[in-house]
Amino acid sequence: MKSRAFRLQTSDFRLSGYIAALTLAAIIPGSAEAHETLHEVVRGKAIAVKAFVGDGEALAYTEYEVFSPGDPKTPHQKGRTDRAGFLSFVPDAAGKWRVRVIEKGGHGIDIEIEAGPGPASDQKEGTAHMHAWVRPLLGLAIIAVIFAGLYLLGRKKRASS
Amino acid sequence: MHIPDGSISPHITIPAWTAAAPLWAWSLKRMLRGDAVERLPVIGSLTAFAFVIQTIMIPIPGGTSAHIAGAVLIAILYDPLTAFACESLVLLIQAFVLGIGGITVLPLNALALGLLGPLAGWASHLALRNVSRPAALFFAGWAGMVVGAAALGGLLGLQHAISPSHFPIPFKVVFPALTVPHLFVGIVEGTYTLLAYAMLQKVLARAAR
Repeated sequence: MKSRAFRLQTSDFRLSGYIAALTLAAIIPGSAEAHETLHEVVRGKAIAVKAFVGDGEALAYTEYEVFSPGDPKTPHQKGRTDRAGFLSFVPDAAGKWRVRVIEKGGHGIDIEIEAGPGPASDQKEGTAHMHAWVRPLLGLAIIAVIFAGLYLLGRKKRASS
Repeated sequence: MHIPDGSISPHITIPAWTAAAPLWAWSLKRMLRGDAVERLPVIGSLTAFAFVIQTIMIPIPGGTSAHIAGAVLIAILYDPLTAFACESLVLLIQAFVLGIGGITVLPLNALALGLLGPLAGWASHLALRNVSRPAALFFAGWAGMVVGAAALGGLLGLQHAISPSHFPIPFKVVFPALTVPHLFVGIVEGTYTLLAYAMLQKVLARAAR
């Protein structure tokens, strides 16, 4: 009885040793992190893009894809824009990042954004910095010039024939 | 209702350029031929007006918005080929100046919105004008808008079938998404076609006196 109890104690010690060794191994960084969800807040790294139509209406909840400079075929990120038409991504490589926003009706944008090696700056870029009425006026001026040119060309052609 | 660059693969854009380029050349030649030159100031004004009305967004059911085109009116007043040339110019300027639509897909947008739509409107007007001129004008505008939208929906659906990486939304989603709202926008286009035609007729009658 005594010897059996002693043997049991011996095996308990061995077992405890194995368990302790396994516990220590499990605490080693990497294996211990497996079930832990952590986070860190990093500011100034993301590039935000707002997609909207000419009258200012946001392309809200619209599908988008972001392609990295290294892989132009597989999207680095996919999702939907937010209520205000914004999407954001964190470039992990310098170069031209392609952003496609595709509305189910076919509208959308397909742009390339240069990402530098450093943190993103708060500088604004894009097509929205001209006054809203300037671009339609420019369009009208182009139409007027083209038709005036065609008219003069047609009259000249008719006079010469 | 304009396809942007990057959504359509060369399988579709190359045949579209091949089809549109001779039509552009032919329409330009016709515009510059003989007395047709004298029409250019009015055609230019109608093109400019079409450009402006296409910047005015109309809210439609479903929380989105769309715009009318004004190309069917040009097709009825002149012919579908003239409407094709005018709408192509509007689309080109929209792409370059307003960032709406694309350059590589220009012939697709032009063939759908500038040719098929106005052609359907012009044919409807031709078929119905002896029954009722106002009804013919209204229906022409409506049909032009719906046919143009359906053509774009069909093209985008075809693109998805050929290469989903270019356009990830399938036909069963994109086709109704484009066509159904334009059943309502077509009512506005039809009203515009009817009123603008009546107004132009009055102006011409006054000028003739």
